[in-house]
Order: sequence, then C-alpha cells, then structure tokens
Amino acid sequence: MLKRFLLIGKVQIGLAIIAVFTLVAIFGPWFSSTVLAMSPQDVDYQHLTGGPPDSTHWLGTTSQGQDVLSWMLHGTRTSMLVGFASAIIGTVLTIVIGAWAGFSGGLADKILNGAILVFGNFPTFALLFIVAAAFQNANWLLVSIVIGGIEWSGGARQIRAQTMSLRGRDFTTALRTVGESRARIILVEVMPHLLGVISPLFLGLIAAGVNQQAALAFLGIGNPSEPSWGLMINWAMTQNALFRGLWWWFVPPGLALCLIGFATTMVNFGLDEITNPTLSSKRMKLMRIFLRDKARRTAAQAPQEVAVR
Amino acid sequence: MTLTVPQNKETEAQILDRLDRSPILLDVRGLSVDYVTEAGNIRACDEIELTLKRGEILGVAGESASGKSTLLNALGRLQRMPAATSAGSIWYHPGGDEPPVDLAVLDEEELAPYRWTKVSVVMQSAMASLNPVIRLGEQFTDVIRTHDPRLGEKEALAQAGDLLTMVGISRDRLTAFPFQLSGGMQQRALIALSLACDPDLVLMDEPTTAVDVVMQRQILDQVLAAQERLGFAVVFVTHDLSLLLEISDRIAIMYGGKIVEVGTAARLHHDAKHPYTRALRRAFPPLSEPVRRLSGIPGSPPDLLDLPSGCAFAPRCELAMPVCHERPPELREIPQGRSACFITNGELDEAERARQQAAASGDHAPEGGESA
Amino acid sequence: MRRPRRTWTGRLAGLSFLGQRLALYAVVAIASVLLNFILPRFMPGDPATQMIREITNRTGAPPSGYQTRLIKARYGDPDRPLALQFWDYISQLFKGDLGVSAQYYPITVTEMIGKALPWTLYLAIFSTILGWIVGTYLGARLGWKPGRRLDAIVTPVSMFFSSIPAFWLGLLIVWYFAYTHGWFPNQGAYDNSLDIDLLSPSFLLSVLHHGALPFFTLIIVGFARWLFSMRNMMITTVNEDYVQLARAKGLAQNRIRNRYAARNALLPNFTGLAQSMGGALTAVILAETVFIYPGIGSLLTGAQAARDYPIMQGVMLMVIFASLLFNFIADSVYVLLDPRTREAN
Repeated sequence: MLKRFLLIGKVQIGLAIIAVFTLVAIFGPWFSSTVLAMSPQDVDYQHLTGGPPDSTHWLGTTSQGQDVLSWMLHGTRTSMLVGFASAIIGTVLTIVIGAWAGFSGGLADKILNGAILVFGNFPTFALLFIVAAAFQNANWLLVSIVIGGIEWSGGARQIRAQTMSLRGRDFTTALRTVGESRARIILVEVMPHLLGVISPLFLGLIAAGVNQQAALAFLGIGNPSEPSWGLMINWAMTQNALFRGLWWWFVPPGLALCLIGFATTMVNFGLDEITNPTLSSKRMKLMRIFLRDKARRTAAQAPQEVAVR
Repeated sequence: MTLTVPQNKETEAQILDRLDRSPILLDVRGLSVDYVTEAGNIRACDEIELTLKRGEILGVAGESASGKSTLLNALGRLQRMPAATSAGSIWYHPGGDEPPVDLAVLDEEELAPYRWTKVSVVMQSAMASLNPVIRLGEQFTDVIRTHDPRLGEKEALAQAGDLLTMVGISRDRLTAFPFQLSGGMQQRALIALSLACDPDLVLMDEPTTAVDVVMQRQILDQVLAAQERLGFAVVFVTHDLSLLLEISDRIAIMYGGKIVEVGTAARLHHDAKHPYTRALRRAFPPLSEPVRRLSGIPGSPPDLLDLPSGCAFAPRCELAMPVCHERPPELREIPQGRSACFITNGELDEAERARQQAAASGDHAPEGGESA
Repeated sequence: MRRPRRTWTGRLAGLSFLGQRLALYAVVAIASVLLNFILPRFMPGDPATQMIREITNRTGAPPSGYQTRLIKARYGDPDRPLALQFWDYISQLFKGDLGVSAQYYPITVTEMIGKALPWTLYLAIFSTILGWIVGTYLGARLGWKPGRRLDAIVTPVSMFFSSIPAFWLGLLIVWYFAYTHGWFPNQGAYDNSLDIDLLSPSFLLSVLHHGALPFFTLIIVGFARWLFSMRNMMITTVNEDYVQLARAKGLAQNRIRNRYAARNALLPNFTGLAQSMGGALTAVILAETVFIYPGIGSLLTGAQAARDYPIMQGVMLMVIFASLLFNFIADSVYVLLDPRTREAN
C-alpha cells in the first residue's frame, strides 16, 4: 500500500512541497547568514520605512528595515520545527493510544475510546489557545508539545479500527498463544501493517502543526524572539502593513502556509484514490481515452452500420 | 392476487417447438466489454453472440470472473466505470412491423423509453439495490409515473400495492424503508419492482444468491409463476448450474469471457458437449435429485489479463488435446445448440480429431505431442 | 404519499441515537469545565495574586473583599482546600457568573461575552451554512460526472482555496478591498455613528456592508472542503447499486442525481458539518481579528494581549459550549435526514 501510495502523482507533488520546505528549514538560516549576510534582526537604515523587493532585499523590507527573505528563511525553520515536532508527538500518541485501545479490548479499550471520542469532539483550537496562552512566551518546543498533545484523536480512531481488525487475524492470535509480549507484537508484527495509515497521518499532522502554530503566533501567543510565519503576519498587521501597502511583508508567509496546506490536501486526495479506486483520476483519464478511441473506430466504419431506430 | 406455482412441465421437444415459433426479442452480435484499468484493458466479454426469443428463459452460468454479470450489465446498458462496451450490437426487436433498434449505440436519453418498460433488472443484492433513505412506495411510483405520466400518485401507489401483493408482501409495507424489510422480502420486493412496467425482458443477476435455500425456492417459484402469466423473457445469471437446469428453456455456459456452450436444459443435463459444462454440473448439488458426491473443478479461473493462446479452459481440462493449446475453438452450431470445444464443435474433421485425441491420451504434457 | 405510522419503538430508536450523542457532549462539557478549573492551578506563578495585582494597577485600588474571594476561588487559593474551591467554582458557574474582567474591572465576563457573542454567531452560522450549501451543491454537480473539464479546473482550484488560512486571506482582502480601493469598511460590524436598532434599514444595511468582507473570506476558505467531500461521496454513490437501478428504471437524470445519488451522498457531508462547528468558530475568531469585528475573536485577542485570564477562560467555555450545541442541532437534523437512525426494524 505504501508503494502504491508513493506512485500517485498527487502524493508526489505533496511530498515534494513538504521536502522543499524541510530543506529550506535546514539550510535557510545558513543561506541567510553566509550568502545574504543578514539576520532577521539586522536593520537596513536605508529602508527604514519598508521598501519593495529589490536587488539587495529580494523580498523587500519590513517597516523597521528588516529583510523579509531573511525572516522567511528563519521563520521556515521555526514553523517546520513546530510542524515536525508536533507531528512526531501527535503520531506517537496516536499510535500508542490507538494501537493500545485496539489491541487490548475490554475495559482499557472502553476508557481509551472514550478519551478518543471526547478529544475528537473538543474544539481543539479553543483548548490549544487557552493552554498555550497560560504559558507566557512559550517557545517552539512547548507549543509543539501542546499541539501534538491535542491533535491525536482523529488518527487514533483510525489506528484503533485497523489494529482491531489485525488483532483478529491468524498471525497475531498465533503469536499471542506462543506467549509473545503485547508490546513486541504491536511493535514488530502489527506496526508494519499500519504504516500505510500512519504515513499520511504524519503528513497531515505536520500541516496541522504548522497551521496551528501560525494561528497561535498570529494571535500573539508564542515567543516573539523566534521568527515564524504566523509572527510575521501578526507583526505586519499590528504595524499597519495593510495601511502602508507593504504587501511583500505579509504575502510570502501566507503563501508558504497555503502551500503546506495544499501539499497535505494533495496527499489526502491521493490516499482517497487508493482506498477508493472509483475516485482514481488516472482511471477516469484512461476511460476517456478508451471511449474516444472507440468513438473514432465506430465513426470510421459508420457508413455500412447505421443504427436503425 | 398471489401467484400459484406452475404445475405443467414442458418436455424438451415442446420447449424447442415453442422457441422456434416465438419471434426474436434480442439479437446480440459480437458484443465485447472491456474493463479499463491501469494494468491494461481486460476483456470481460469477448464477441458474445446470442439470440433471445420472446418469453424465453435463458440461463447464463459460469464461475466468478467468467463475464456473466458483465454480459448482463452490458445487455441492460448498465456498465459502470471501469467497464465499457467496446464493440458489437444489441438489436432489440420491438415486435410488429417496427424495425429493430441497436441498444448498444443509444445514448442515455435515447435509452430512456426502453428502460424498465422493455428491459428491467433484478440485481444480486436487494439490500444494496433499494435506495436506503426513501420509502418503498416511492421507489415503485417514481418508475411507474415516469413511464406513464398520466397516472396520479394514488393510482401508481395502488399499482405498487398490487405488485407487492403478487409476491406475497402486504400492501402496507409500501410506507416502510428498505432496512425495515427482511432480506427475503427485499428480494421479492425487487422482483415485484422489476415487473412494474410490464417489461419484455427481465435481466436477473443471481437474484437468489443472498437468501437461504427455502427463500430461494419460494422466490424462484414466484418468478416462474409471474413469467408464465405475464410472458416476459428472462436472462438469468448464476453460478449455480443445477438451479438453471430446473428453470431455463436454454442455457449458455460462459468461461473466460466467452460463451462455450449453448443448449436446452435437458440436453446440458444429460449430454453436455463441453468438458467445462460437465465439470460445472458436477460442482453443484441439484435441487431435486438424490444426494451424490460433488467434485470441484481443479485449477482456478483464467487470468483475463493473460489468457492462454488456445482454449481458455485447456489448462484445467483433462481432455485437452494439443490443438486446444494452440488456437481457440469457434463457437459453432451443433444439433440442439452450440459448442466451442474441438471435440464436439465439428471444427476438426474426424481423422484430425482422432489424431489429436490420441496425442492427448498418449502424453499428458500437451506441448510434447504436437508433432504426432 | 401517506404519512408513515410512527411507532413508539420507532421514536425510541431516534431518541437513543440522540441520547448517545448528548451523553458524549455532556462528558466533553464536564471535561472542559474541569480543565478550566485545573489549568490556572497548574500555571506557573500564582495567577490569583497576579490578577489582583493587575486589577490594583489598573484601577488604582485593590478589588473588594468579595471580589478577591471570588477571584481566589476561581484561580486557586493556597489557603483553601481544593474541594471547597471546586465547590465555589461550580456554584458560581451555575449562576452564570464567569468572574470579572481583569482588563475592564469591574465589568463582568458574562457581560463582555454577551456583547460580543451575537456578532460571532451571526458570522459563524451564516458563513458556515452558506459555505456548506455552495460546496455541497458544487460537489454534487462535479461528482455526478467526474473527470470532465469543469471538474478538472474547479477541483484543484478549490483544493488550493481550502488550504488558505482564513486570517491571511482576510488580510489580503482587507488590504485590497478596504485599504487600496475603499469599497468596504476596514473594520467594525456596523457604522458607529448609527444606533443599534434592528428595525432601522440604514443600520441593517451598514451591518451587511461591514459583514461582506468577513463573509466572503470565510465562505471562500470554507466551501472547498465540502466540495471535495461531496464530490468524492457522489462519485462513490453513483456506483452504488441503487443508483444503477435508478438508471435502469429510466428515471429522469435530475431525479437520479438528486433523489438517489445526492440524497445519499449528502448524509456523510452532513455529519461532517456537525463535526466542523468547532473548527468553523476557530476560523471566525481568527478572521474577526483581521477585520477588527467586535466579536468573540477580537475579545479574545484583546484579552490575550492584556493577559486578561478571566475573559480567555470564559470565551473558551463559551466556544466549547456553542460548538457542542451546534453539533447537537446538526445531529438532530441528521436524524430527520437518515431514516435508519430514526425508525427501528
């Protein structure tokens, strides 16, 4: 399933976008300091009121004369860090809770499933906001822990269902009879079967993490000394970038958020096409070609075979 | 009015005579259906030739993946993605002086007047075939009123009630939702629904597979009784050959997307010409015969993406001759039907057939005996 | 057609479905109330003392003895047993008392929320429903005949739309339509020179004029997900046997599409709507901040900037309760849409 998943064009586009942002997150700050020789805090006194993109400031400057590209490069690191960290935390919780509930059954399952249901019906952002706001100037790790700690219920429900079906299969029953420990069965035997479910979940959680962090930073929650996409938009708004028309300040971070969201939508769409072949756009295309060719063939032999009505 | 089970059984000669006198209803010529997939096009029905007379009950039998349900859907112009009719024609003869119509080339709009009033269907799973969120009554009245717009809702509902009563379901179930009916009731309701517009032909796709044996008997009796009274033709698809032997006038056997044998039920019963037909017959218990040992068919159905170059059944056939692996046999006319087996279809002359058979019995690895 | 006979067992089946949902929401509500109680007690420092200091700073005088006791009951009091604190907290909550704002002392949180909530509900309800209708309708059209040119254009485009963060799109829209062209006001919910009068046409007109940009933003961001889910559900449903049978029956295409395919494809989309109310409120809260719309969102961001914890907590409770209420309303409508939840076999 994982292989088929990776072969779909939409999935490849989605993964490529995430890969590009990951690379920027890793090498961006280095590029900013060596090639551009700038940091987000540097102030260009020639452009104190914010200037449009030019040859020194490829993406323009903020109203304080700071370089927008440098902000973007560093901001990508924070945003992707939160994305990955919260996705890792969320995925681990998803797997542990989902697989545990699905595998143990009985009372443990009842309690865990109850927790999954309750968390699934929580408006997560309200919870996120209040918890994150409780810590002043929360750094990226704390924000990631809070996001990851809240965004696991949807995935856990899927994993639980999958594990329950795997639990009933012969090979797990056999392993239990020979006395393999539950943790080992889950980790070594069941987990490989769940990879097809987990990998898109993980990607979805990255995007969710990036977006939640952006929303929090936009509302002013988080550490103001850590540049991030959300913080850029927040500063642009609070410092009247709209009024002054400094569009180059708030357009790039928003576009980056859109692309991350777009990437996960693509991946999820691709996933739908695997689990539900009737949605496959490749098949629709093949069908169109087939019908067109058939129409041509019949048109070629039409003169002698006209349908009588 | 409820139906009574028909008591009079025709002899084979009577059936043949009746079919002979009956006008043609459907003439299928070279019908091919492909499944369009990423792995390539799969030909599920290959050059099907069939003639159906008015009032005839034609059984179509075969294993799963033999193309029988695909054929049925193609006849009703009901293929869904990824199946598509790739060639051939389905000539419908309206009767009287009207010229025949090729249903295969009509578009959805042109087909509308033929649907349900001429050709209706009963699908395999009644549960899945009834719209789960609208009441049974509306599922009857919408089709009745579509094809007879003069009728009011009340009259249509009264008709629907009559149809339900005919299959032994109380009229007040019209207000029920499908999930409120038992499985057997749903199936009977579906059969009643198929008769709503007095069709010339009812296509039945394993209508009794999903119900238990007692219900199966009851449903079959009702279908036969209704058929006797209303005179519609039936194409009845199932994997259960024994069942077909009891109810059909003629039976077509499908294998690997092709028809391999056609004959009256009586002839297939005692003198099947194709080894596959005999194998299929041994695999199912007859409904009304003493218990005997059953045997499965060795091997598995052919891979339609990778059909053998010769007869598709040859790899599983204990009588396969060298020629069977070289080229596919033709479906030829034989006395009392048609056959697509080199042993019986007369394609090989007497001497050639003897030589081939000798080669086959001499060496069971068929390729080895080619030069004999 | 005759009206169905409703039996007692039939009614009970529908009620038991709603009962289960209600029980779940009750648990969520209790959990959020508990969380509201526990969180400030786990916060670093002593929030109650901080808050009293804050109020003293702002107003120049410490809050009254009664208010001090209430604040301590709500945000933790090292001198009082936890059980008693909890009792105080719960009994206040049942009286509808959410405490006083630290920022605007002595105005109560209930009053602040009471002023802001109608605007947020107005935005949230109409934008969600409109977005859902637009998305579901378009999705049903596209999914009926997928793979055609319209589908090939609209689906990827709306895929991109759905990925736009509401607050950022709001920013672009305000910048372009309000600041650059001045076609729409850049902030507020109505013209401040007018009195609030729901019967005055000029007031209503100004509400519509001020609401246009927020609505536009929320609908653009919101409709796309309904479009996908409806489109995909429609494609799946069109392949169902009952739609095939409807085709075989020769019914009019419109009827097959609406009464057979879309009618069934609608059900999961409706469940989605019920589950999305919390998310919808989030988008509204973020968008309000951009449009400086006097709703819950603006209240929340203001409170966050001023560290007005009573407001933040009150808003969080309100948002959770409101989304649970909407979920329940949607569940009840679902019972009407799907007879299988309503009537027993």
